[in-house]
This record gives sequence, structure tokens and C-alpha cells, in this order.
Amino acid sequence: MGLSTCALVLAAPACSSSKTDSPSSGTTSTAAAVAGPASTLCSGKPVVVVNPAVCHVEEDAGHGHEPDAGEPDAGAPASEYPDTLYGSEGDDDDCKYHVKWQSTAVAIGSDVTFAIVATTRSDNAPLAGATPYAEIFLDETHPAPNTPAKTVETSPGNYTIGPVRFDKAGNWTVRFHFHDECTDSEESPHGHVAFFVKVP
Amino acid sequence: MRRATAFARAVAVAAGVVFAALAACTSSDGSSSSSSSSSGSLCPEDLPAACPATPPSYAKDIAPAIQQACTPCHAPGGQESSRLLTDYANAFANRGPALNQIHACRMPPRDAPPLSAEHRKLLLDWLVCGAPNN
Repeated sequence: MGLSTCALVLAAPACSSSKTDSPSSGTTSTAAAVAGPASTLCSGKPVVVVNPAVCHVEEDAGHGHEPDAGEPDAGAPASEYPDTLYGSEGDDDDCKYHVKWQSTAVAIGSDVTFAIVATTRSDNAPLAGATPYAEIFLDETHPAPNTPAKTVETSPGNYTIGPVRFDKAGNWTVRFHFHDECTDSEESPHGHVAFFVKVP
Repeated sequence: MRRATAFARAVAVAAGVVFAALAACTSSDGSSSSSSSSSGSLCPEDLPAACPATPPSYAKDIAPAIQQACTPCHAPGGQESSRLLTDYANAFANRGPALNQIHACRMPPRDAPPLSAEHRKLLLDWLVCGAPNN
């Protein structure tokens, strides 16, 4: 009996340390979201339905597919991602997905975990198996200093991404990419949406 | 003897509890996980702290590295032709995502040849400097 109790005591820390390592631990909130006007990018636009089986879009030789971040000016380099969103939820740039996010407490030097919930706009179903990753930066020359965070799908369409470290105060951009392995085009499952995150 | 048997039973029970507890730990949420690194290996934390005194040259250092590692996809007709990297203007326009994704080992992707250590350092140094046309 004494040994059983001992085993329980020994086993419990193994469980709790695994939970501590898990990015899903910690209380999340929308406290780090930056207030601002809601995005109207998808207002009045048809919902784009994608086929997850169509990952790579065939290209015509010599012609690129249309960038999915809007029409570039003629002759201008095509690169820009759509505007970063305020608040803690919004649609991706192609209006395929709806994304909500929360985070653990954000502070310089802390390990921060993001919790995101992604659904398809066509039927509000969980966006499962999308292997999201977070691209995180303060500006064009200042990304988050630590190398890739770990993504965990805790249940279909629910993900945690972390740890992420911020090294400077300001409004950072966190761009979530979904199905990043696929071609970045409107008809592909690839999608991304970016939010401002306030680092005090 | 009875004492030894009781001891053995207690050990067996304890072992069972440990196995059960470990099993509960590993299957509690049924979640799946993945690393964000496309390389499948550890990604170095080698972001330059600042722009070096002499930034790498786009013409001499960067263009050849991009041509070797990036333009197989980031060119007209390529898989990522929406984000061209075939000339300076396009490379400059994509400098932010390029820095983020090279630094995080997302680019080149897993199914492409990895950057050499030399090219990785040149590209990170150049991008941290703001991608000058030098």
C-alpha cells in the first residue's frame, strides 16, 4: 500500500511535467489583442470553398497564378500580404477561413503560447489538420528571435502554437499560415491571416 | 515469507499504477503535434543581432544565392510564382516574409535542398540590413 502510494506520487510529476512542457498549458485571453476597426475584407464577398485535396495549383509556363493578396499594380512587384487585423478574430485574406486567437500573458522575454480556433467559412466546420504556423515580426527587419514554435492540434480545428518570445515592446504582427505546404493561391487550401499583438 | 509475498504484491501494484499513470499521460488528449521547422531538424537561433558593418552585396552574394535556392519555385511558372524573387525589386518587396521564413527554417521547404550555412548567413545578414541594393 505504501509502495502504491509512492508510485502515484512518482507518476504524478511525470504527468504534470508533460503538461508543463505542453504549449496548451497556461491561461489564455485576448488581452494582447490591439483594438481597432474590424476588417471588412470579406464583407459582401462570396465564401471561397477549397478542396483540401487540391494542394498544388498547376501553372502555365511563363505565367504566375494570381497573387491571393489582391491585384498588384501593373509591373509592380507582387508580394504584399493583406492588412494586419485588429482584435482577436477575423477572416483570412481569401475569405476561406475564420480564425479566433488568444494567448498566454504577453511580456518581453516570456514564453508565450497562442491558442487559435480555425473554421471554414463555407460551413463553419473545424479546420482540422491544417498544420498552422505563426510568422511573427515587429517590422521588416525584426522577426521574433527564437526559432520555430511547436504547433499542437489539441482537437479538430483547435491549435496551440508556442513558445514564442518577444524581445521588444510594440505592436507586433502574428501571421497564422494554414496549409502552408500548399501553393499560395485562392483555390488552394493555403490561407493566412495576420493580427496585431501588443507587447508592453 | 508472508511479508515477502506482501512486498512482491505491493511492488506489482505499484508497477501497475505507474504504467497506468504513464498511459494516461500519453493518451489524455489525443492531440497531434508538429514542429514549425520545415527541415525536420533543429533550426539554429542565429538571427543577427544587428546589421553587419559591411552588408552582403545583392549583386555579388545574394542574387546567386537566391537563384540557387529560391527561384526554382519563386519564378514565373513556378509553384510560388505569386511571390517572385527573380530580381532585386521583387526580392526587396518580399524581404520581410523572406527574413521570417528563412530564419524559422520554413524556407526552403522540406522537399527542396536546404540552404548552405554560408548562404543562410549571407541572406540573414542582408535581410536584417533591410535588403539594400548594393
